[in-house]
Amino acid sequence: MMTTAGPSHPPITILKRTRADLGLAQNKFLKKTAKGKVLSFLRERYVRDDIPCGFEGCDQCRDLPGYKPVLQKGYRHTKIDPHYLVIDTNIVLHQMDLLEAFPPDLALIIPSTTIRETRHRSLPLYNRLQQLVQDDERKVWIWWNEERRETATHAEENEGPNDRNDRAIRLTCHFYNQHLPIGHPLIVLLTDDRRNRELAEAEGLVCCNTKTYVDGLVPEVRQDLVDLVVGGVDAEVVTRGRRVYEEYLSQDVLNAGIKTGRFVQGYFNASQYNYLEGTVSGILLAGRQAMNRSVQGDLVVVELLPKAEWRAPGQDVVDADVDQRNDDVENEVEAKEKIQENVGRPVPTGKVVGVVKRNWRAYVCHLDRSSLLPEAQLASLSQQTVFATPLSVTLPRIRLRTRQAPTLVDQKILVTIDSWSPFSRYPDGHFVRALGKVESKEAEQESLLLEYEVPYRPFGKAILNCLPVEGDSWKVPPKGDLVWRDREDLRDLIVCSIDPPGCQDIDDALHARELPNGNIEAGVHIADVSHFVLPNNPMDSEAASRGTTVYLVDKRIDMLPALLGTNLCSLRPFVERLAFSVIWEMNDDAEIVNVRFVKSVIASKEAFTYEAAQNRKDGPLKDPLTQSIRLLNTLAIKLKAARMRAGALSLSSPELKIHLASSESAEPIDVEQKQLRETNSLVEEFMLLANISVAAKIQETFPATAVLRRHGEPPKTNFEALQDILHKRRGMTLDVSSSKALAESLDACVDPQRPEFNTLVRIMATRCMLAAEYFGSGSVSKEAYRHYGLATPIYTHFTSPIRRYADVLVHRQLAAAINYTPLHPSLQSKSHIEKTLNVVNKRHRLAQMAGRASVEFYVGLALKGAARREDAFVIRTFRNGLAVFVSALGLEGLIMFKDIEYDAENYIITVGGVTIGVFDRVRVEVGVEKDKNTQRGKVKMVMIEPVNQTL
Amino acid sequence: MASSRLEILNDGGLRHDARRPYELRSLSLELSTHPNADGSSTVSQGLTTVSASVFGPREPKQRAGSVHDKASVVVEVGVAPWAGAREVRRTRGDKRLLEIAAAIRQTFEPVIMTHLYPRSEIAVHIQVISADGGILPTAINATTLALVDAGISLIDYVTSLSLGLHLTQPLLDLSAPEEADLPTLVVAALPSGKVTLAQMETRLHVDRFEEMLTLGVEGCGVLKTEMDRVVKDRTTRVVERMDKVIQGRITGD
Amino acid sequence: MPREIEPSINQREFVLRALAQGKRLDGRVPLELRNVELEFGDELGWCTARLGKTAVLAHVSATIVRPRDDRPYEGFLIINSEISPMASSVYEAGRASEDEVLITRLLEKSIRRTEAVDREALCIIAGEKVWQLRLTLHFLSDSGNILDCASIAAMTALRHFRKPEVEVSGRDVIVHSPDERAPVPLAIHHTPLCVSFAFFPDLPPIIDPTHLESVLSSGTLTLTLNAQRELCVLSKAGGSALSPGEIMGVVRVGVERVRELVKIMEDALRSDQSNRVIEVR
Repeated sequence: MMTTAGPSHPPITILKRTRADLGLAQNKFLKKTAKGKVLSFLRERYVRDDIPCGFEGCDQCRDLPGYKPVLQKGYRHTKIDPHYLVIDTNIVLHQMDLLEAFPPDLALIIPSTTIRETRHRSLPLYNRLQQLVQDDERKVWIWWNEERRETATHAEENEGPNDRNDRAIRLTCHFYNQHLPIGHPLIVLLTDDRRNRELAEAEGLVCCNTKTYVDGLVPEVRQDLVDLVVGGVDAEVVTRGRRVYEEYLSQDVLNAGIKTGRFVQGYFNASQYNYLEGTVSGILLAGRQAMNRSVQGDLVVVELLPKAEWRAPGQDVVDADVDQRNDDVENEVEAKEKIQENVGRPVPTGKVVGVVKRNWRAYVCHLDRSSLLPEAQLASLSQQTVFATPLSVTLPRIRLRTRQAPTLVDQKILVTIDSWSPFSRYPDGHFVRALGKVESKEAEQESLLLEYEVPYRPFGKAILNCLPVEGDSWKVPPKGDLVWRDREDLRDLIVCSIDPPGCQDIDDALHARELPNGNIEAGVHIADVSHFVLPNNPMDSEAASRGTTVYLVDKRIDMLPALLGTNLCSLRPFVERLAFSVIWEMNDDAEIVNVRFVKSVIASKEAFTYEAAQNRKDGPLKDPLTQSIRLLNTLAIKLKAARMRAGALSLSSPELKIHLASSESAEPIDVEQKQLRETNSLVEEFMLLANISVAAKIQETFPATAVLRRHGEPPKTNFEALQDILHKRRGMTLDVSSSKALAESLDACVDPQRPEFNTLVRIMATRCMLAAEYFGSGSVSKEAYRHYGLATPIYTHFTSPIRRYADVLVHRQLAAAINYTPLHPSLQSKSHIEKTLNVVNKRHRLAQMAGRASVEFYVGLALKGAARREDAFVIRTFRNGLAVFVSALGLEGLIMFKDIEYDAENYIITVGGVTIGVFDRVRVEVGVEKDKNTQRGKVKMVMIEPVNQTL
Repeated sequence: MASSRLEILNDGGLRHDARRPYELRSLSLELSTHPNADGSSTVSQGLTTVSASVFGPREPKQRAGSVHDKASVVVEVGVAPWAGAREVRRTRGDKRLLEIAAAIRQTFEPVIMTHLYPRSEIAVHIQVISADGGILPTAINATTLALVDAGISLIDYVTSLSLGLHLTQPLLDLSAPEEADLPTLVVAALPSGKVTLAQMETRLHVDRFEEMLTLGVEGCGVLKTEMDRVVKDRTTRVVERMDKVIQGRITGD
Repeated sequence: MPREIEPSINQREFVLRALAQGKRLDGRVPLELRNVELEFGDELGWCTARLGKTAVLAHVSATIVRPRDDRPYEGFLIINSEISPMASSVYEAGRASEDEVLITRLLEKSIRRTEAVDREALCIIAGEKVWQLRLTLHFLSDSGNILDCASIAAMTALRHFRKPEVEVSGRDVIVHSPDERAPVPLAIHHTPLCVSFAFFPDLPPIIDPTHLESVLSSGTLTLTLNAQRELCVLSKAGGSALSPGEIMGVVRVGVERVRELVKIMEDALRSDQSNRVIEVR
């Protein structure tokens, strides 16, 4: 052996190929380039003898690298002797839910061919497979079949890639049969491909399809798994006679059509109000046939209809539940579909002719009670076909077969769509699992997370492996370590943090001191998350896909593992922490003389709550820490004044705080609005300043790829309604010519008798605004960088890298801008930045919605016990009712009346002789009612004064 | 950076061609493959095959090329049309080929004992027969063997190897798809562990570089052992055969 | 190619003995760079870099062209350099010598292959119009180490340059003159700079060798590094063999020198910008 043994790595060897291996020496394949040229590629390959089989106690493999005794006892089955399962690619592609639900002691052998093909076909499924493989609880063994001599294959003549893969998997079974000692557990090939099964049986292998396999499991296990089998366990799928939808066109025709402009490609967007309508990039799809099996979010191809067939979008609310009440699950009786002739201007109308990419995922549903067989209402365990209605109104009902129908009736369940044949009006799906009883805290919480697509599964092992090995005992290494290179020692600075009470993830700290030249030095220190989260490792990818930490009332779903969030990257007091500091030199008027950015080590001297900091500031102490807070406060006041002068808006959306009796109980005791102190504003001002300074720096250094945040100027028309209401009802005017003008006129909207009035106007104005978003600086022109609400020409998020992914990116860019670390190539690619930020923007939006829904759920719970009577303000009038806002609860609600007179011009309604208009104060009773669709408690309001509806 | 779907290193610790990180590709070293040259060799590392022919020491083709106190070294590199080398164009004036030629010349100038051959020329012709990553290191290895075959005095063997870095894992002897995706370092070293050539063209953090460099030198050592064995084997065989011939003569027939 | 006259034995001995005492002919210590001077022209993207008596003028210009079919989102960066006999008598007009090829290759590798300039950011309309940047290097005078000087000039010029602001409406592109709208700087990912070392038998290495020093040396080594401590290009071909330790030694020195150089460059750019009215905020 030619080796030079080094202590740190395995010996360097030359891999000698023997003559016998020559047939397996290379792979040849053709590839088409972007230009359309076909190139032939030759890749070398080797076959090895040192791939371990993973069998417990295998004498031949025990000493091979990577050996682990994973394959132990064979799994018991009613029909098959103790065995291991070998799975093929189709099982992974179609039965993933089943695989995940398999009992952990069911030993699986996954050939690498299966893994590679999955990776090639679907990355999301590949990632789920990886999770499965890395789960230490499970007995999953990867067999590198193409790498091991005995099971390596090469393409035979007239053999397609699929046939070759099947053969490779069968070869794996043969190998194990021969390799394992006599009396070993059976090797069973699990495949749904009939041809493969026939071949396998002919070769003398034991094989099985999923249906039979699951059907023969021991009853306890079988019961949990039957519903997960795609395609159902017993019933063979009968092709139904009537064709409901047109077949999709072939991929080639679609591509050609898109290229010539005959077809349009876009994401399908179902209408919120009408289940028979949807749009794709502005093209109307009217009726089921036109939508042709598209589901919300699918990437579809649309053909435009001739102009004569264009129609106007509907104006009525068409409720699927009411309309489809009589659809039978088993029989496709064609219910007359009434496509109403809508009045109005026809818009471009089209129909879906193909689907490029499905966006199907698991949906939270509940069973449609009416679709259950009457006798099955009793506890019958026979399998039946039922409808599941998704919570979201934009999704179609899903047909599924289950044996547990009776037990699932009052449950929230998770259902996946498997297929949608042109012969079936509804998509077919399968039951994944039950979330729990409707209205139970667990089920509601989980369904909320699923509904808003919040990734909440625990961090996988690969991710946890990215954490420092020292874990909780990690410390800033002593000076001189590589960590200290280019890092400033700021441990002696009087730094403190100010956060809400109970805050665990402290990501910012501050300091201020007077400089000898009379200026003031102020600093913001942010947890150095990018030191721990390195680009492109599993932890980073996970954080990127999570996008943000999601705060629910009683739960926090972290973006990063808790070790970082609440410990290593939390700037706790009295310990040394790594930080990224922004340090300004300011003059007395809080104008920036100089700013620098530096990686540092700090040791916070105190962690204040807003209240404690306020008290300290107002108190008598004169120590440096208190002085530092006072100094910061003075600067913050000046900064805020300057910002207001520039035209920053102080907008309002009510923030609520829910008091829980204890973390365990679900019953909230009280709902109150958050209180704002001077110190809140102090922290806010400095965070804003840090974000602005950082934004300018990274934009200067990376003009094409800097991660920034902007807030577009809302179109003036957005304000027209509000302006009119204010003018007519109060004689006030709102000047929206600029954010400064708007800020000033908002300040003028005061009712001396009613202090809440101003807040109310601000809330209404906020709703006219656009949403702020992250973007890459190269994607829009420089004029569009502006942040309208903050009235600053450039802005980004830098200050909360623990809980926002955009901040992590900004940290990396800033680190590169100050030459601290190289910029990862992914952060240099405009398209990659755009892609990442799109995900982050989406996650932010969904996280906000999830947070709001969670508050709503708890408010609902609080009101469930006893309805409350509260003051409310009218914010809108309708033909049949009022929209009111209850500021004490931060809730908005609709109040419906039967007979009213409606004066749309003056925003007034008259009910029973009483006239009520926008901005009027009313008294309402707030209670809860069950929402038909989501089965979740929903707030319902009834008026008490001036008209009492309860009578 | 190219984002290909090729898995550089899979979970089983295997590379795309089933090698482990510290395994070099199958190596074949052949001497005297071209009867017309004074010395020649063909070296294959995996699917990369390079043959080298050495002519000389001889009178310089061009007068101006002669140096009064030492031999001048001339290197020319060509690529066969079927080699499948996508990274170099095959035209003679291609800058990349000129660069490879210059690198080989500069590597061997101080290794060949040129002062023994004043006013003469040593010409090395390199032909890349098939390319799958690591053209330069294979060419250097082939040149060493061809020079040995030609009986030209060298101070020692020069061996060369390419290596890359995947995340934090160094990989030795890169194939073409790996070369395209990874920071690549080419090292040529003498058995003493001294580096005669080091080339790198992709960004790599300095902190990682040292490890790569020492590893490269170590890998060159492994190649040297193999090369030495092949040369000695062949020489032994040649000597044996000559012995036989001489014996035959003596015993007379 | 006319061969250069070799330095006389006296000269050689003198230089080497001085070096043995840690002295160089121009008064530097072994690991000291010559003085770096940067001078900007009236136009944006003109820069002359001087490294002692070596001088290189770099100039950047931009035109709008069609992108390649297979890379519709990428603009071009073309590096032109010709070493004329003006720089030094060793260079010949017309035919490029091996030295020239190596210098231009190294520059290309340092600037283009390391993606110093974001070429995607040069795209105006995908598949139709992209910016083509032309970086022209004029070698004004070569008194040694012209490569390092050229890399400084090139990167400074690229960072100094601004391309006109363009506005896309549909398929039309409006190019705004610099008077109308402030031109925009290029997207530069990092600033790779070359540093060269020369080695002598049994003597410590020296940085930034003069022409005489490199002729007398037993080998040179060129590094391209950036301020983020990344090694972008390493080129050591032939010359005396070095141990890995020796190579690492010069890499570490190189990192520090490049960080200094980047700082000098950034200061020069900043002071030039403050004297020049480009945009008013």
